[in-house]
Amino acid sequence: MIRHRERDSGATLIGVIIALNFLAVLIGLVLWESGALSVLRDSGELKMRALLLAVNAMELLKTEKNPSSSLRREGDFLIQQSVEELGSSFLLLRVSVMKGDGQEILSLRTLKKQRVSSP
Amino acid sequence: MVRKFSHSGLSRSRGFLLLEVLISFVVGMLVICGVLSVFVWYAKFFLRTMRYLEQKEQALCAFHFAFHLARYGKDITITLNGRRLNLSLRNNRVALYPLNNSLLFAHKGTANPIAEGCTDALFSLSQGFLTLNFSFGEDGYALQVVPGYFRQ
Repeated sequence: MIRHRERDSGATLIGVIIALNFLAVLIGLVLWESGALSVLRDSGELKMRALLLAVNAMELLKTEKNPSSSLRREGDFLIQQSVEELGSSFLLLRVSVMKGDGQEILSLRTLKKQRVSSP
Repeated sequence: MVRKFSHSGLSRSRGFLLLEVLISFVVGMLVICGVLSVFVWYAKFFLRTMRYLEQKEQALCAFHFAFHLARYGKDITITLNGRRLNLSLRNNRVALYPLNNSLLFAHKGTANPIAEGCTDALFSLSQGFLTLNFSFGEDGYALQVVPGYFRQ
């Protein structure tokens, strides 16, 4: 008789609390995952814009007769271009795109043949 | 004692009041609806993000393709108010233009899509640079290329 009554007594408070906690954990996981997705989305957009800026800067640098190192701001990005002599016949061109706080997003490097000026 | 015990048992298992049932039903429905709406919102957000990332991938593919066409192509001309890029690749005349949300590559009488979701494309030539402007939905991107750089 007592056992029968215990079975029919319904959900206890502790049972309800455990179920609600389980739901809260699931919802927390979903929100955490959506935060990660937002970061992924923003990172994709940032890297794509940075890549296009870097390619544009590199194209300009490659066409310059006397390329030189510089740092400039373009929108929210900082673009640093550096030119180093690599031996006597090559220049190492490097373009780095950084966030406004100076954190590098990506960089491109290429070699350019140095033009020897005619006497 | 026995009578007392059985009376107590009866009162415990007498069931819920209508008010209790209604309140618990409403609270249960609110919890279920809340949880379901969070899951539905997440599913939509996930699909939207995946579409967005796929669009970025398509845009990068389009730029990669157009960049190499411009690099290795020659005799570049732009027609249709800047919406069609024509150039020679080896001995073939090829073209790049947007149509019906796709960026098409025309070659030997056939046109194949190289990027889906490209809503518009504009090409311009100035000061030795070919500028490619591709729009993917609300996002627009621009890239500058030196045409035929390797032949210089």
